[in-house]
Amino acid sequence: MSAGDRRKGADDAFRAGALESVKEAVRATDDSLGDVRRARIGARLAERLAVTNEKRTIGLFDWRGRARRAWLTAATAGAVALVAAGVAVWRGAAPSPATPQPASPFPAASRVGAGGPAATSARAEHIEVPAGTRVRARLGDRARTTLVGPAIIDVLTSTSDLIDVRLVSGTLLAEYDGRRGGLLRVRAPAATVEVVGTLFGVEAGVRGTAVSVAHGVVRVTRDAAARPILVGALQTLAADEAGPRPISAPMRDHLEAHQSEGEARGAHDSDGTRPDPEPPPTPRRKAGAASRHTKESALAQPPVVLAKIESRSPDRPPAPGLAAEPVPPSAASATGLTAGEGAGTPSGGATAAPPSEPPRADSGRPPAGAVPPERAAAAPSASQLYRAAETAMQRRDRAGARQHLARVVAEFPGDRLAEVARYELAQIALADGHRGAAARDLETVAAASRDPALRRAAAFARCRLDLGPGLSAARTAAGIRCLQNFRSANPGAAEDAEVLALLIAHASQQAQCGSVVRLADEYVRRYPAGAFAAEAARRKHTCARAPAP
Amino acid sequence: VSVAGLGLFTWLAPPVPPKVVAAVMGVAMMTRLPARHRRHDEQRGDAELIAWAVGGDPSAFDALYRRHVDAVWSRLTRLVGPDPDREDLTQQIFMEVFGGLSRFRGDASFRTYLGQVAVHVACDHLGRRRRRPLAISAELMDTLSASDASPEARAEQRQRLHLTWTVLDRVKPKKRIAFILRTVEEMSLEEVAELVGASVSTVAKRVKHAEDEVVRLLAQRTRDSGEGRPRPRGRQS
Repeated sequence: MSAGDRRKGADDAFRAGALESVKEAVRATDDSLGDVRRARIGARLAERLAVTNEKRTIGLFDWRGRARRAWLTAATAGAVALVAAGVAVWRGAAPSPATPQPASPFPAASRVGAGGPAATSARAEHIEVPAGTRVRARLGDRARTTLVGPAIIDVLTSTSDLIDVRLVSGTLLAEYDGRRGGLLRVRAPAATVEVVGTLFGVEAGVRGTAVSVAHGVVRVTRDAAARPILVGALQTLAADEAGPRPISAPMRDHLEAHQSEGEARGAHDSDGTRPDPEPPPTPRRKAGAASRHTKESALAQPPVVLAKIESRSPDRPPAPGLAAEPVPPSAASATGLTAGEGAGTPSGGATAAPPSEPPRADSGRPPAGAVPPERAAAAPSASQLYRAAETAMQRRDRAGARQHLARVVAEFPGDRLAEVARYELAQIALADGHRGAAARDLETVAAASRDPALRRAAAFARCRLDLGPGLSAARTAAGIRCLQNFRSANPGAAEDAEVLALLIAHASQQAQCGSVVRLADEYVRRYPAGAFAAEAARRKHTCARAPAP
Repeated sequence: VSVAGLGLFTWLAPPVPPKVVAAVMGVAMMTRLPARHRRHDEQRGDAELIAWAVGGDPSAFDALYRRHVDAVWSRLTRLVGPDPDREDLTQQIFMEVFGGLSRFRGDASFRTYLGQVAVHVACDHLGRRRRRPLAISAELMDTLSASDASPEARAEQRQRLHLTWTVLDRVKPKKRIAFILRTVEEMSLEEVAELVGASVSTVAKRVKHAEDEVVRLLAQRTRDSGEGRPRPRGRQS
């Protein structure tokens, strides 16, 4: 072999080795996305899509698109007429079992789930109300509600016996007519409210849940307490307080405004009647109510009817498909909410705020519900706040990051980014040694996040809080129970290998050889290449060699 | 009523969501959307989800995102490296894909379409980034290094990662992308050509040039570090 051939062979070998090395290095860089990052990107994407959707909506109705609009109108009318004629021919005079729902943008005010008959529907409806917006919604035919954005509500059940809703965040003002029996149940974080006929409000925000009652009595069952508490007229109960206290003036104003809006609307109804929660009803009202009920049941309304939407953000148009109306002056002055104020900073003052928290929204309320346009325009978005928090984290400025994240949570409780922000807040609290605060935030995310992966990650992190050196035996036992529950609730979760490893380590510490062998076998069977596989095998081997007790 | 008309009205029966009914003006929607009732996201195929998304269903966007985001992230990481802008790029990819869903004709699979957009976004990003080299944070390096390895092994791994990405940053974006897809992801030349939107011969040339350049740069670095490796063959060596 000549020197040239040897040189060529060496070159080829080096080339192959170099390329293989690059291939390995590039593949090794393949870090996983992770639940939190996935949720964060998804939240930002949803926000950007919502903005794009709004721009498109504005563009569609722009005066410059008159020709297109005329064409669309003609095409729509033609298509609708064609479809209506076809349906009439095909189905005769039979009433349609489904009522068309208004289209909604993604995700500013979205409705998820198909509509159906009010009396039998058990499908979930999902409503999101953006910041600075109030939506009046009728749940079934007896609950008249106002949602003060930012707010998220899921209607779980709407039958003649039960209207069951979950208030994820935000403020819900409701007037429920319970004279025909039945129950309205509002599930809020840390508390469940049951109503048989009253005017009341529920606020679900960062400081917890608070229930305020204007008329009647509601029953509140708190997650932390077994016995329910009755909250009477002009009282407020916060989920973390021992008992009711007098209702605050702003919250009473909210409720009165809600009621007066409902009355004003009732006066403009064609039949001139509305369900009235105040007993005893006059005979005229009774008759009117009865005729109304008959009419509504004949129409078979969907469980949720979004009656009106009011937007006070100058840069956010009302959602298409929902009729916009100006806010009545009385309601505006009573509510006094501005863009960005909402459930996170409840102006009702129903929840107890720690002294270190920012001033309450009602301390500097603008007159007559007016929003200074420059203030609304200058307010940073959730994404901007989150970016500021990230920048602070890169500078290792935890206090700054915490401040920005807290603003995301407080000012945009309905935003998906707020859920990620709350998760990050828990991590910061943990790093600062505030396990209690971390636990609360993680529990909130685990209970209320719309992202299943984030819910799962938060649940796992919550379990981990109770495990670690220096913690009491009772707490460790609670952590282990939490992990076991996590496994049964999330079979095949991404965290399963880590959960199993923790359970093996704990069983090993407790010298529970039976558990060690069983869990180690499961680990090796499921995750043969897992990081703990060798250790699991070693612990199992150690147990097998140990003498039986 | 004709048979076609009967089919149409059966198809428009109430279980089909009203948004789809509203989209009846778009004839293309009617032909594309399967006449099935709504199913759980996991059971719905990409084509069905796309049809729902075009009809304005937010949960369909969400389902598409969840289904594909990990693959997009993984590909993006290989193409641009451990770049701090990957989150923004991932958003951009999905924004472009979701924005163009109504124009998606279904000639290729949705995964391929997503890959094409990812390649395009990565190429643009690499072009912009050429003036400033990629800085890999120590935290990320720690994340990437195997946690059970010895400190020496981890240090060596970090060094190798750093060297690799520094070398790849010197390669022009189109060549680099062809190289990564062909050599690292081991795709066929035809698959790479479909993703990058070039002919097979062009892709082959790009891969060859990128390999030569990578080997040359690695040899140069190795020689500079004094390990005395043989000088490889290459166009510019």
